[in-house]
Amino acid sequence: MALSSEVREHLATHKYFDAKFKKAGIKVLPGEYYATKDDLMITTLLGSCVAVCLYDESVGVGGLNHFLLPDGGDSTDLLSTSGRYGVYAMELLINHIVKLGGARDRLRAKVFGGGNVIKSMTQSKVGDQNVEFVMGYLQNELIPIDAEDVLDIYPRRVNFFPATGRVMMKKLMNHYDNELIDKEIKLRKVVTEHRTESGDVDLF
Amino acid sequence: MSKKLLIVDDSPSVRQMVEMTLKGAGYTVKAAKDGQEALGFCRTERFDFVLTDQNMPNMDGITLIKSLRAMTAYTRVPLIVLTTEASDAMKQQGKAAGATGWMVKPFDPKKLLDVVAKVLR
Repeated sequence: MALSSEVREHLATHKYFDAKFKKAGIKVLPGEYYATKDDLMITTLLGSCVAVCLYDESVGVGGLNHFLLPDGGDSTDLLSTSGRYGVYAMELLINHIVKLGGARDRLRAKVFGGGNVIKSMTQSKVGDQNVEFVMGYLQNELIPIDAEDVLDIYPRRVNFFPATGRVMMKKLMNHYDNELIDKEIKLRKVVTEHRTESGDVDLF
Repeated sequence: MSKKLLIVDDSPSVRQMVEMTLKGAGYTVKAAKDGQEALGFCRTERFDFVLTDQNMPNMDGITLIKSLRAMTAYTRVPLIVLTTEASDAMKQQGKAAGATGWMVKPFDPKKLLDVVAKVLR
């Protein structure tokens, strides 16, 4: 069965003007990604999901994704259901950056999220699983990690400036965001339900 | 003798996933990191099947397929694309270049083995 639209990572479309940074911004929601060569700010709010900021500073191209893995097997095993899904989520972002002129061998990364913010999910260590996958993947792809702020129990606000690779991150210590947590629980349920799906095959 | 397969992808993770899957099914597998390297391998060795990614540095999958189809040794060899590109326009470009088939990621080991078995028959 082909991959359903609701679990395919989508390009973020939510543009806004950030009054604090006086800059055009893009909001990336759970299950979305964005890449650009424009002077924009990309922002996302993370719970147990992870966001990987990737950038090629020499050409000023970068992007960020926001995803979580389905429940299913050892996430550090690339051939497990969750491993295969994670590789796919990362490839969509990398391919987009490369199309905008970035070079794969010049990419550098910053990694955020994987907070075990959902009390009912603390036992299953959903955040840990997402972080372990991303760290293993980046190492495997020889993409250096310039900065990381992961795990713990707090949500994080990430503001990423793709042209330079700069990130401003804030841990939200007094913030229990029910809406964010609901969205993440729903996303995890959906990707888990659809985890056995893969892409179409056409034989010409 | 086991069939000799060439896999082409710029991502080490994808190369590992595909290689493990095919070797596990008893095929002999060689891996290239882009179209240019793959074309070099194909000039000196004969493969029974080539699986290639589309977006890669130096030479993309469609260019590799066009180049291979121009070589007498590869006019009939199955050439399959495995990519994140899901649009019909891209599939048509692949078909026009001489691709045997087009598989969209996420990667599914079972589907790949089915396709390989089918086109190698």
